[in-house]
Amino acid sequence: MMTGGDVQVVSRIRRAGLLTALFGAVVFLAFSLGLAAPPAPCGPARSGCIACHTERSMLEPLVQPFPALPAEGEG
Amino acid sequence: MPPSGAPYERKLVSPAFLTSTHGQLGCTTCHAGQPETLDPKAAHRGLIARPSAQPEAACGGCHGEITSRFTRSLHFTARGMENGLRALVGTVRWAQTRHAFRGACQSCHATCGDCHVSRPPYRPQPPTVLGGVLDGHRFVKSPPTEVTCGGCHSGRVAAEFTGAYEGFPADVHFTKAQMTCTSCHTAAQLHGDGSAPANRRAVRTKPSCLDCHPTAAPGASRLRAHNIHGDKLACAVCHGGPVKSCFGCHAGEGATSRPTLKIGRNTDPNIKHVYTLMRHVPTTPDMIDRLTGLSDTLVNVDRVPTWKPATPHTIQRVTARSRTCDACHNNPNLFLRLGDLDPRGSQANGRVVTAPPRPLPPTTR
Repeated sequence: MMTGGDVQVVSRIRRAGLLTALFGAVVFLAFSLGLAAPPAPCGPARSGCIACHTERSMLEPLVQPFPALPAEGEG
Repeated sequence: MPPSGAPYERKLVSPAFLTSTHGQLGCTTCHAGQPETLDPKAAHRGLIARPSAQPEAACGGCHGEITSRFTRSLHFTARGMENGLRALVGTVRWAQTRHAFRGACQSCHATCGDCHVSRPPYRPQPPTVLGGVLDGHRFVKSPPTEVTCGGCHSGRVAAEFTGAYEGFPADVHFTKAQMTCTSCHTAAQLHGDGSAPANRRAVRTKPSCLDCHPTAAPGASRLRAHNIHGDKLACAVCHGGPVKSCFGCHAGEGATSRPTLKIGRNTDPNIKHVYTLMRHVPTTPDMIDRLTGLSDTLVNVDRVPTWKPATPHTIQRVTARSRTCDACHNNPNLFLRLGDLDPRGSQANGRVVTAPPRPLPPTTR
């Protein structure tokens, strides 16, 4: 049978657990929303630019063939 | 010759760049644009293709000292071309010509990224199309000169230096010493020294033959010819090979070129010698009319010689001129004379012609 002291200890443990869970949730949300990401607007790890510019399959159909060379005496 | 690499490689960013210092900045820090969309058209709205065209903004934050010098350099300002054109156009017409200069001539100016990140769009000799990023967008501290320097200066200098032109011997510094552009043209010269020189000849950090060959200085040489002629003749007069001269340019139409080897009189105060090898430049009064909409825009064509001191990149240790006195003293064809001039050309060419030296008596040959 729990004494009054035991009840107090359990209550403290529960409170600490709740606070930890709350803190974890806040951190998780911050990362999910990008609030904890680096301040650069286009960080390499999550840039839309990089999604295309590092992938041959994305670039190949989009990049134009080489331009024609100028004729002798031009340029 | 096929272009090097597949077209898509011009735009391909390597994973190594993403972890580099510059890569950590993120794309839009320099290039702006719309990174939140994957639609190519929408993503490139507001894109800054050449961020270092504004070097103070793009590079100056971290590289302030060098950026400050570079923004005054000829590579960035194209001031040498501007001053040359202004002299030909005159003060009055400059206001009507400036836009043509900015749209055409000045578009050749180089930014930081043009050498350290990108490749020039093409090089005619050999005809290889390049363009795009150099090395997966990695910032290259010492760019490959055959690509970056050669990509812009291949019309004449790089091709002469490497012997790519038929009839031009490659430069001895290239064939024997495997030297590249930056062996002589140091970073201090290419980036500028903070001054604002009027043209390339006025650059204080430009290379001099005596930098590496001090024992060839007149008065200090064991060779008699150096001591006799070194004060008056540029080294190239005896050691230069033929140079590429161009004639009759109409901003892209009707230009021709051929190798020439002519000794003329120097009129440029930035060159200390009296005589030097000459090169013909293809200036005609109507050369940029198509760009300005004016008629005979270059009204001062007769005030500026079209035969100019050459800076041959076809240097040879031994030439016929360095071997015998006769090669010059009994060879009047080597000298730029009135008969060599096109009567329809610039009247100022009369200032750079020279009389051949008197033939030497047989005992002194």
